[in-house]
Amino acid sequence: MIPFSYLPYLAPEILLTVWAMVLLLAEAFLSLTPRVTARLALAGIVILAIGTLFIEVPASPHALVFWNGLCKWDGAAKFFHVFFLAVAALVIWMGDEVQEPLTNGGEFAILPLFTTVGLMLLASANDFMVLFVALELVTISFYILVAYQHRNPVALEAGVKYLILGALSSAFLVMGIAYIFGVTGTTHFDPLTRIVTYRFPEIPTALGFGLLLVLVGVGFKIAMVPFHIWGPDVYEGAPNSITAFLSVGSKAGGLIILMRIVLEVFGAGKAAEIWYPALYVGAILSLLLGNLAAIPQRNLKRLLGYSSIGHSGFILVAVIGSAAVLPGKPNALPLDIITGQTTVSVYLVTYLLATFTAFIVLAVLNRRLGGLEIHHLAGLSQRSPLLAAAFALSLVSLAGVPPLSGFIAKALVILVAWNRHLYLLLFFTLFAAVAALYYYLGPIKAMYWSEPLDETPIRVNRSTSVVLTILMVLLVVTGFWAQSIATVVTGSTLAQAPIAAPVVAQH
Amino acid sequence: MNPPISALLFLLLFPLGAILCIIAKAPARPVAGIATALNLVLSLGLLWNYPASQGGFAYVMDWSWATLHGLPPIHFHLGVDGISLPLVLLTAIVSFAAIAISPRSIKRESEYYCYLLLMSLGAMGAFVSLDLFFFYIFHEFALIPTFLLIGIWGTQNRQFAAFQITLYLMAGSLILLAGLVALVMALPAADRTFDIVALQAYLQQHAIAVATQDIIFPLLLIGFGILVGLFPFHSWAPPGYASAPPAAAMLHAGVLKKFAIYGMIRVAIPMAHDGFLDFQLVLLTLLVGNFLYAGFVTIAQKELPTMIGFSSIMHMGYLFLGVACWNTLGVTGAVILMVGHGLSAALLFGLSGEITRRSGENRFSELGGLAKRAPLLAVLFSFASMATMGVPGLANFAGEVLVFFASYTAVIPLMAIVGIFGTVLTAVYQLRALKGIFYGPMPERYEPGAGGDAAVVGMTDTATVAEYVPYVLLIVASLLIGFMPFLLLHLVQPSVSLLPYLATQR
Repeated sequence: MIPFSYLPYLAPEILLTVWAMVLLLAEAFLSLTPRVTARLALAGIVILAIGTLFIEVPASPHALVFWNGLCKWDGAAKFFHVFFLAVAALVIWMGDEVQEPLTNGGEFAILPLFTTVGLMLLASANDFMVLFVALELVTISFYILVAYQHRNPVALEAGVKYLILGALSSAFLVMGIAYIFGVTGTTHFDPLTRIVTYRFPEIPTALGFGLLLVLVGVGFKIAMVPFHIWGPDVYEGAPNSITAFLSVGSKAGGLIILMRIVLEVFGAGKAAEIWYPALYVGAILSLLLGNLAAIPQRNLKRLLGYSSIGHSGFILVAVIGSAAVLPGKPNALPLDIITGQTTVSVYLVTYLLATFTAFIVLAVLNRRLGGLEIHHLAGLSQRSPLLAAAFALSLVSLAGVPPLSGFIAKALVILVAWNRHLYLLLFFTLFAAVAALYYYLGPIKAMYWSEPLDETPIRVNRSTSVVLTILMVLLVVTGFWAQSIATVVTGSTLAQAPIAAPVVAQH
Repeated sequence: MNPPISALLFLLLFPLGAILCIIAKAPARPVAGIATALNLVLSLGLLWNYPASQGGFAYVMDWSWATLHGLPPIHFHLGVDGISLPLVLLTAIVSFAAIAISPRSIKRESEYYCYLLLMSLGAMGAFVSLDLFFFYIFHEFALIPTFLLIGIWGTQNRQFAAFQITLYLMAGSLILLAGLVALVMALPAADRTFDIVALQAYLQQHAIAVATQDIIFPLLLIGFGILVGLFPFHSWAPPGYASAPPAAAMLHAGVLKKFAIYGMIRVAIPMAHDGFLDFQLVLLTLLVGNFLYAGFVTIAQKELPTMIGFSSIMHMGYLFLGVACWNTLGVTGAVILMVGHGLSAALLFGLSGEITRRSGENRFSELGGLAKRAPLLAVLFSFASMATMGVPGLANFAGEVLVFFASYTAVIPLMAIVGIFGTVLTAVYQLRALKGIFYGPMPERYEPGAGGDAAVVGMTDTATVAEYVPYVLLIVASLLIGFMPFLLLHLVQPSVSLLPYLATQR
């Protein structure tokens, strides 16, 4: 029997699935044009996002666990629900307004709805089975979206690469879940947490191995080095809106499950000895490889692809810094844990703003410039001051230069790393931030210094310029008026499982 | 209770408003000129009204700005005292001069003035902020505008220079950020604050453990040191300033670099004083590099802009020396010298741009005898050289002499002697520059009627009087301080003597 009182907490997923089904049928039988379909999908998402804001969150440290512990609702779940809906809204709007129109494009607006359902379910998953099903929903709909322009060989290559590597990573994940289930006999997070914390004086090898395999699967989602190989190629081949979706939505999806797994389930007790070195190395490699490999890139989408790997590194530093227990470090105070998790949320919000600004500009330019190499940008500031300013602001924000919003995120990462005594990570963070500024300045140089090859102004339609202006204002406002972003992320933390507390206190 | 709005806010609103007006297609040059002129008048008024004899912060306003969960609240806290007020005035004067000397016809005019105003706004904001968050981010306002100014309007090897200066300064800022974060997080969670005044008050009661200070102070020192061009972190400055358009170099070398010295006085030394004492000798040793290494390298320069760039690095040594003594005399001298050097550096960079523009040349070997063709320019350049050399009667002397007295009575008397030797080096390169450009035989192509080269034609003093106003303004300010140093002394000293841990003078 389904206890209906918990329905509101799963309402976003259910309603969005229903809406996506309705749209699919309507598109098939009422022959809606792609444009109408996209508008309807967008309207559904906006209404849902507003509704989701009103779903209450139980006061921390309690989470609302329901449906036999399959799902849970806490501050992080709510934050990520709204986050994914915002991402989906921008993706569908981009596909409709900014990008070149697609023939038979109805599904192009409907598939992101299914992806979003999967992502939202990830955010409230409290069981490895739910998590896996949700993740597959995300991944499979992405397979289609990435290869949507399959007549283009580059897109096809991207689709095949994503399919093969995605399937491989899912296999790792399932294998890992199987090992964890084999040792503990459960896939529910709550009993798992108790078992990991209390039953084993040392983590059994099989359990640790399972955890590492799960991390491989998650590392693929967030493009953590060494599981990043797909990133730049897929970014280059996918349609711009989908690249942005992958870069922000898929990464955030990976992060929420990473946080659930390493901070909640394996957060207390000895398990940190397994995942801490793995993530530590992953963070450093991502910071270095992402930011250094971006330097020689001439294609803007590949450049942003590598930079996205680098940003995973920055966020991973914050994730590591929000753990309650780290081997060899003093235990975190509850305040430190909240600061760390809030940093992840802040980083994601600022990353969303900057990334979508950049990809909207690229989507506009893709139709006009005949290519997305850096040299195509030459003299853009004369041809379209708006596009140049928007792209420059987004890059400078990604680089973390004050007073733009990216600075708040970078400053918080530095703060968290210092606060948790992660000095080596702090060093690499600083190094990577300087290296990142170097390659972000390249396109700015092209736009502002280089003489234009072609003087014709680039016109931007009204809705695009309005959205770009809003995003630019938000980039500045969230950086300078820090209260705005503080309000957005307040309470966006995982519920601290009550059992974690005594264990932390014992040390 | 602080008033809700202070006059300091307008120092920030004028440039900001001007930028918005220019974006809204208002004529750029007049708008920028008016905004900076208003700032100049306003800062003079603030100076006039400041209760100098008491010291301490005036014109304070304090808005609650942001509270991020788990972090201390951020306040929009403005205020000036006798240390920051002269710097505010310096910023206003140099900004006005930089706008005024900019060429009438410059490509992409509105962008150019927007970037200059942003630099000016950033410097002004950093000097009036009393909250670490704003102190830091206002300074960073200038980073990207500097990159664009050098890149779009720069000369010579502008691409390399622009990338180098931007990346180097970004690295410095990030190290500084790490140091500031470390400083704030060293306090127990309940007492953490970004407010400079509150932080200072707390740290005076409960100093941070010395071992922690020994980590924090070097971070701050390297961060500020990179921003100011402390040896060996100086290599970004000369090529950057040589390539920058004169107005940008004036603002950067004259004003923005002073942020780091100001930060040493306001944050690094008083808040991590034990760390400072442990690293005082290291700092003083590095200064020898500034005095001697940079001094000799300056003499070897063959081009005017790079020479001025290196000389500005060298002169940072005097500022650091005054601060490193950490007694009333030394810090007061450093503040006065900051103003003096800001004026003289702005003057030199402006004049260097003018000479290069008119003669089409900046190598000493190709110049000479120009006093015949441009006597006014020669007079102005002589004043600038004398100011830089520290000739009595100009502001730099007033500051330098205090710094030398202070350092002679403080830690190592030898440093005073090295510093004084440095002034001899300054005289060598400044006089050689003066002679090389304005005296001696004049190349034939500068004779009247020779050739008809556009650049050469411009060599005569056909410039209108109005074009000299900004230079005269800078010289008058320097003379005024030079002849009546008590004007600044009375303003600066009471506030300096309120600083904590000042060494007693022997």
